[in-house]
Amino acid sequence: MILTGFFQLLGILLIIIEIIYIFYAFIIARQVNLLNKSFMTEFSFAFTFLSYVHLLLTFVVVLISFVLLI
Amino acid sequence: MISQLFHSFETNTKGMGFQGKDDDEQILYVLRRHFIVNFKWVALTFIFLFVPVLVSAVLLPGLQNDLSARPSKFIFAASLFWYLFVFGFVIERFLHWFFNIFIVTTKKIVDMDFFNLLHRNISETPLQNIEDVTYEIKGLPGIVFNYGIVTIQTAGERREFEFEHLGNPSKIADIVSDLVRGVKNR
Repeated sequence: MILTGFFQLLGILLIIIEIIYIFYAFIIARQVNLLNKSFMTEFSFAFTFLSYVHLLLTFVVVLISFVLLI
Repeated sequence: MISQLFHSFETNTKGMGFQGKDDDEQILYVLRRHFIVNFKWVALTFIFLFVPVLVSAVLLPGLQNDLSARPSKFIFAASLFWYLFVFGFVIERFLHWFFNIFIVTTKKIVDMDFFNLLHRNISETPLQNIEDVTYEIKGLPGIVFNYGIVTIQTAGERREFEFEHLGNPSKIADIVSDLVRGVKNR
């Protein structure tokens, strides 16, 4: 019982951290856009794509955490 | 093409450009820190990949197979997040290396510093403003991997450009000196 409560608390904490992480993922995506404008290479699209995949995965992970832990 | 991603001394500048580049200007070299400087974070990434496995195997034995229990669900969710974090860490670290560049063009040198996600700095100076180019190789890793510091003294507002951990600094210093001499002799 105590262990379950403890993990419930940890779950809420994890979701809070994940929500904060969304901002970090968003900043990465934004910064990649700016960097690609400052210095253009043939990899610009790949960097942008990766940063958006990362952002999308962040939302997916938050969603999975909500379903599993709340 | 993919191997170009890891070049620290790029001479094939086709398809490259930067903000402030003139139409009649050509990028000659794009220089980055020696790839070996990435060793720390790459090694750290490999360690990070094993953290969830170690945590669930060592600290919470017997919970991995019971996905209905709350601790197991938490471990699963936390592991997912951890791998996402590692993915973000790799992107951020790689961008930090890739976009910290020193560009040499037919007209100027450009120093693009990407300190972190919230701090970057871009400086440039025309080749004719360059007064002195020096390089320094120090320390065991510098000697083994042939990287060092190239310092460029200028007559411009920013007096000094310093590029750390550049591979083959003697060659770079020589290239810049030759270019400057060529521009001044015109």
